[in-house]
Amino acid sequence: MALKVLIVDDSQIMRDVIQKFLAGFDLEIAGTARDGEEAIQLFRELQPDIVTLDITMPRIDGLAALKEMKKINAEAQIMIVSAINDKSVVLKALDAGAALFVNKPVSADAVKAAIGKLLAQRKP
Amino acid sequence: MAAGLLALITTAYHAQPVSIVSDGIADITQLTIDDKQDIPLDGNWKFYWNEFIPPDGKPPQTPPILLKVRGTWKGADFFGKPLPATGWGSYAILIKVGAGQAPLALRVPNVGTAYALFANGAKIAASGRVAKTADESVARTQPLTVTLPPPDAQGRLHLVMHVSNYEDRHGGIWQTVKLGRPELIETGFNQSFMVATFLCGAILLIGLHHIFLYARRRSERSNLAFGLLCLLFALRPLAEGNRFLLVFFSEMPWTLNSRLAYLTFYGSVPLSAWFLQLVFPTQFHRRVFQFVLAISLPACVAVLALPARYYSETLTAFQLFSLAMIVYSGYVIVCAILAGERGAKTLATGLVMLFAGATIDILTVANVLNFPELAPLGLIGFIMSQSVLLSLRQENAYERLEKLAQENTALISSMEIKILERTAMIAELSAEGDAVLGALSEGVFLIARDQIIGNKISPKILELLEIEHEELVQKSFADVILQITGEALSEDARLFLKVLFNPDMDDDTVEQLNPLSNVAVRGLKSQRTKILQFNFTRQRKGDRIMAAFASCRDITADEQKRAEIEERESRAQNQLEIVRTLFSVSPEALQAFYGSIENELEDISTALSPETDLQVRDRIERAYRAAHTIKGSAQLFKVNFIASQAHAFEDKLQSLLKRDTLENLDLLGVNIAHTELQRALEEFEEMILKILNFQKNAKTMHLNGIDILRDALPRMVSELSEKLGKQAEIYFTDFSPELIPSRYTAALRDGLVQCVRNALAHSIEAPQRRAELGKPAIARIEVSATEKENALFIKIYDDGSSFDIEKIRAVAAERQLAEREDLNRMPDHEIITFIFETGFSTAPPSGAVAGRGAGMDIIARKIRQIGGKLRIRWAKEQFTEFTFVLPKK
Repeated sequence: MALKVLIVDDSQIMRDVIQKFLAGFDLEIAGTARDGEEAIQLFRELQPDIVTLDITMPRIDGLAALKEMKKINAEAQIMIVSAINDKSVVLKALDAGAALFVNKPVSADAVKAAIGKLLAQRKP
Repeated sequence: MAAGLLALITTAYHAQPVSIVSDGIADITQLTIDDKQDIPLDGNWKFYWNEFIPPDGKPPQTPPILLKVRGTWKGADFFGKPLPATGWGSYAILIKVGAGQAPLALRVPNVGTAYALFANGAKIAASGRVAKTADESVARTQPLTVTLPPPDAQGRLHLVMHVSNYEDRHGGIWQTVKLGRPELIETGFNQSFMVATFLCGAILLIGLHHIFLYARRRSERSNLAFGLLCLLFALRPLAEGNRFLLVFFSEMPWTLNSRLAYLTFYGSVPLSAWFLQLVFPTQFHRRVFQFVLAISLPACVAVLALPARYYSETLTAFQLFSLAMIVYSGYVIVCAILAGERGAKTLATGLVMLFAGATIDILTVANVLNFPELAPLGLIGFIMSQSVLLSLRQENAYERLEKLAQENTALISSMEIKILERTAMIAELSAEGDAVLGALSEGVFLIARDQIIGNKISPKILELLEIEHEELVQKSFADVILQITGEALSEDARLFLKVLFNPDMDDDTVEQLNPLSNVAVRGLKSQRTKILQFNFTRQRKGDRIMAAFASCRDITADEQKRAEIEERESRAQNQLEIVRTLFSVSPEALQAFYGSIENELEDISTALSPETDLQVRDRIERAYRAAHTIKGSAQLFKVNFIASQAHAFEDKLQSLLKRDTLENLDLLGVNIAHTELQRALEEFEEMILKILNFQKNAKTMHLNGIDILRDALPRMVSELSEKLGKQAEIYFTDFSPELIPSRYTAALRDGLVQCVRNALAHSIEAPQRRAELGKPAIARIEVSATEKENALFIKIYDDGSSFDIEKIRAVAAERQLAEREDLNRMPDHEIITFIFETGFSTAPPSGAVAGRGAGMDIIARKIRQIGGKLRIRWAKEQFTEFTFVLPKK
């Protein structure tokens, strides 16, 4: 059974790009969200196993969305996409339960390596 | 004591069922009654059921039966009927004493449960009140010594005993009636009394001693068990046997005494079981102990609660039960000995004695044996063994203690030495460590798993952070960061340390997340701003991070340099941008642009000026609008550099405007951005002016490609002449390069250069040759550019040896450019045209100078392309003059 992924990013391009990068894995793209609010809603509905969350989205606080998601399902693995110098936000996100982070601009290698790590963590 | 023991043993041994009495008659005339032994009147006495026969010899009414003494009438066959336990009747015995006997005495033992004794018709003793009904009777079982009256004329004693029993389970003469010398009987009694007292006293003392031991050491419950057992056993000789209790407390109701007597037996079993279980817990099964308790305790309760009639029935059963217990105990002890339990053998010996005594006792009471009380003796033996055991144990304990004390002292002194050595070593190492730390130029410290800073730090860190030792050591790292920076960074530091100590995070990720790689702090003491760099190295142990090794450096100088370089680079970038812009915009347009943005620049300055009275938000909005206009204007004029600067400024303002609240502090950033914009504009202006100036100058100069040659050619000439080992100089005569239109520039430039090169390479001779020819040492090259009659004349003159026509002819022939004959016929001015052939060269293949022969043909072509002509005038060994003729239009 393929794991479900929810992609959250305010840029259509980014959403497409990430979707492309995930193509090689046994994953089902359950849905995409444009902002934090939509993300929480879809998270509740679709109950994904993995989430990619853009934490630089200006409008809705990505960090708040992350915390909410973790409250709804602590088992979900959430991977954040962050700005390269925003260490503070990344640290807060990791503390709030994010599993991994990749820096913008995202490269195929970085995303694939991150997904690989997430899947490995699920194994046992 | 020994005599008494001996006496007891001998009497016991002696008390074998030798039936003196048979058929109710005892003939002791043949026996010697001395003061050494007494005669037990055991055997078959006459018994008359339900009749108190007249003691005076009158014939009884009921027929007698023969009844065994010692014994009970219970169950005896009375003419076909078994007799019940309770009831009343009479025993009779005729003793033939013989004449001349000394007075005799009788030791009447316990008779159950009341009797009256008559000898030769006279009542000599009684115990209790014998009666035909229970109500009238009073039970009292108590041994008595009674002196017998002298025998009758025939030397006979006729004894009659009326007995009644309504209390016990078996009525009758339970124990042996002894006949003997009064002194002996008395002595016997006294002796047994002494023994009993002794035993009682000894056992009581020992019991109390053990209870005291228990009180001192509550953990040793075996002492309590044993103590209680002793107390019980101390009571036994008084309550049982000779019933001394009754002797001395004659008012004591028989029932109480009886109960006590039973209790001393019934209670001893669970107590001994308890004692054994405590001493050998592994061998004595818990279940067995529980079973023993389950039997004994109800039995004791029965003794206390029920009338003697009932609880006395339990005696046999309980005896068997006790025997079984004794057997089991024996088994337990054997197991203990085999298991090598400490003290098992000693205990065994004692217990054997105890149990032997107890067993014999039980059997005696059951009328199987006839022994005096031996259990107490056994108990003494047991107690002695216990004492031995205890003292042995104590001895051992003392020995061990002494040894341990000795070992301890030795150990302590050796430990003291070791400690001193270690302390010295530690002090040395610590001093070394401190020295190393002190020498470090970096601030170094350890952070433990709980984010607390360790004790060992390098002094440099105190210098860098400008804090005291106490403010750093054993403090939380996040707190220290809070002190030197602020809350935000302190929180980041705390979160970062969490990640640092997480073994699942790899080193690279951790490195990336270090928020303290570049920290601007204000020195708490110096008030100087400096930039510090913190680096963290994790110390792993297995799969855990034990500690983090932190180092701190002052990178202010490095950062400054880096900032400088960055600035320089960005300025260079800016200048490039400016130049690019300038080359796509005309100066007029630039001027117009500057004019158009003057007002907007003014607006921004006013909006941000502290003198203007405006809210922060209003200021920013005004500045934003002005910047936006500037940007638009710049885009219109295609002044891209300004457009991008204005855009950057605009962005900053826009992001601020998005916020909900703004404060004065935000203006700081705006002012900085404004200053940047102003600087960019200034630089731009500077560049413009420079270039405008340049252009101004260039107009008067009519700058073109030819003018450059004025500097370039002389340089080329001197270089080449040096290279070729010749001496030459170039002169510009009549040189008006402004006359040359720009369309000719390229071709002419190339032509001039090529001609000068050729002149140097081929025409001009080496100084020696010039001397031979009588020419001045320094060759002369002249370049002129003149105008005449609508045509431009550019001349290159050299005073070298010019062309060698014959050589040209020969090369042409060689290259088969024409027939030999034709060549020979051709005049010189025709031959010369061959030099314009591609690849034509008379010179040997030389380097890059001029001999590749690629020059003249190209020049000729170029000149032709621009519509010009090339003329050559020469005189062999004298001069060469190339003239480029170009039409003026």
